[in-house]
Amino acid sequence: MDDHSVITLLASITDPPEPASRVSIVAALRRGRRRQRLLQVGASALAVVAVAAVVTVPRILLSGNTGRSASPSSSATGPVRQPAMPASAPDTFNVLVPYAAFGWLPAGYSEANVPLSGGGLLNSGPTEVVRMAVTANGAMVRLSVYARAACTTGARTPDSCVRATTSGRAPDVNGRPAWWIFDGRGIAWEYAPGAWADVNIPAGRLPHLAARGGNAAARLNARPSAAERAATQTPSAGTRDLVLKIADAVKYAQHTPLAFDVKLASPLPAGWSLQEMGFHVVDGRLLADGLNVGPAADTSALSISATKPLGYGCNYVSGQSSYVTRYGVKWEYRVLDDHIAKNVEMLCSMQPIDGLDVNIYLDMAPEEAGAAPLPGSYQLGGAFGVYAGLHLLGLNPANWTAAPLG
Amino acid sequence: MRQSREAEYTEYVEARLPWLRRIAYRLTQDWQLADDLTQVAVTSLYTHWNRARDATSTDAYARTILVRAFIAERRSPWARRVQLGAGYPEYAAATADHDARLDVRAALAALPPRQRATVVLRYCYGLPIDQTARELGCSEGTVKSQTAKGLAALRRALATLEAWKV
Repeated sequence: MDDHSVITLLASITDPPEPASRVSIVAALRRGRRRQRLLQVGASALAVVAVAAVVTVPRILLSGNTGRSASPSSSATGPVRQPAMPASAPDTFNVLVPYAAFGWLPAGYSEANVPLSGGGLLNSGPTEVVRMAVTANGAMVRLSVYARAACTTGARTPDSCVRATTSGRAPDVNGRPAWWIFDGRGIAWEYAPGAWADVNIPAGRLPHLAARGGNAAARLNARPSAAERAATQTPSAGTRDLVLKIADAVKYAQHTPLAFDVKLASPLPAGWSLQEMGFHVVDGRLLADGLNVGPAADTSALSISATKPLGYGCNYVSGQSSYVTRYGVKWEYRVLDDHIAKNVEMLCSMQPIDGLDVNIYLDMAPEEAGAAPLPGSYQLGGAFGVYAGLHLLGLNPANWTAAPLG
Repeated sequence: MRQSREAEYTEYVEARLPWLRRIAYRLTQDWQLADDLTQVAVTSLYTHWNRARDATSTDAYARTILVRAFIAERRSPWARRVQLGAGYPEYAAATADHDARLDVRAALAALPPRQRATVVLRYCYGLPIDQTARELGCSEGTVKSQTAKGLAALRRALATLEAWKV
């Protein structure tokens, strides 16, 4: 075959049938405008914008959440209506609907103040629900409610599941036996036969809130409230009264579901299910931080997060990254395949997609050297395969879903 | 001002999108990758729209952006490590000599990116050497050498494929 024949063949190539185009002119306009703005602003201004975003975005997201209907009543002295105590506790919780919630909080404390970057402060798991409320200056109240499966069946003390040392009997909580924990900074009580809960007021503060002293308004009025003073001083009768009052008002068997801004349409491998999930209070709704699914051997084998940009970018562990444009998005893509972290794929969007930063972590084998691949992990088609089956629901709460799978 | 600029841009992209996609397909041999490449190119075209609109040929300007985006993408470390495209054509050939055409597609897909872009622009789109050089951002001498190397590689690949059939 000579050059002429090759050229003739090249000229005769006809294109195969075209599939429907995924190219979006609207997306090009949007990204183009953004790029142009960034070019105009310049690199130095960008750095300022990034820093400002880190500080302000969480506050913008969280502002206006206090005092919403989903928040517990908040009063230092007012009477607290006692909630009904459950006759029995479930063996395991539905992770999509946090089982318990605060019914009352001291003034200034709110779940909506929990920073988006904190991670892991509010959790809904199969055996434990964790709620936390903080003040603008980082003082905390923490509530943990355990399912029966987390506790030793039949045990009559909180040691069976509460991870704290008891320091004597406390007054009953709504008629149920209770013990002081953390030297009186907390209280643990049996909210239903064989199932326990605890509330405590940690002595410290959330460092990133404490460091910048909360929001601007809080800095101007930086005098700590009576509740904050009680929380940060040596446990006193005041502290004990406070934790008892919070414990008395805890609500159980709640029906407020988590809202998800992502939905995974692809079927999960057999044996994989939803696992413990973090969440935040945004616009009065419980917004899940993402999706965690996995088999019993590795319950967090697949983690997907889609969050409003926090300004941190892709914050991966050290190692080789690749940068790629795929599905019209710039990604940082990392594949780890060694004897420690075997076959892990990580994908991080380098620009928001529908307003969300997307991170996907897919573990395809347990961390033990030589371990067999996780059953079904390869069915997902790697991190890009996961993304292909993902629907991003954007920033509008009206579009969020309580059913993140299927 | 911005509205009229965007209206012009949108009108152009709507009209020329199928054409840009086909070029992207010939470069990538994969419709998924072609769409990604086209998306990158039309986004970049937006930011350079004033220059593209005032260029002698807006088409040439848009194609240049597309081809250069393709070469840049294929140079990335990710592209060197990962092959995401489908390995086999998913369509039936329309004509009787489909074997030869499938072969030439396979051989084309195996060429290094710059050689592939040169051969596609020269022989699929009939561009002269000087225009190919402008679009690729290289000298005419480079176009000639890349063309010669590309054709030689295609010849070898096609001969090998032919030999397997005997």
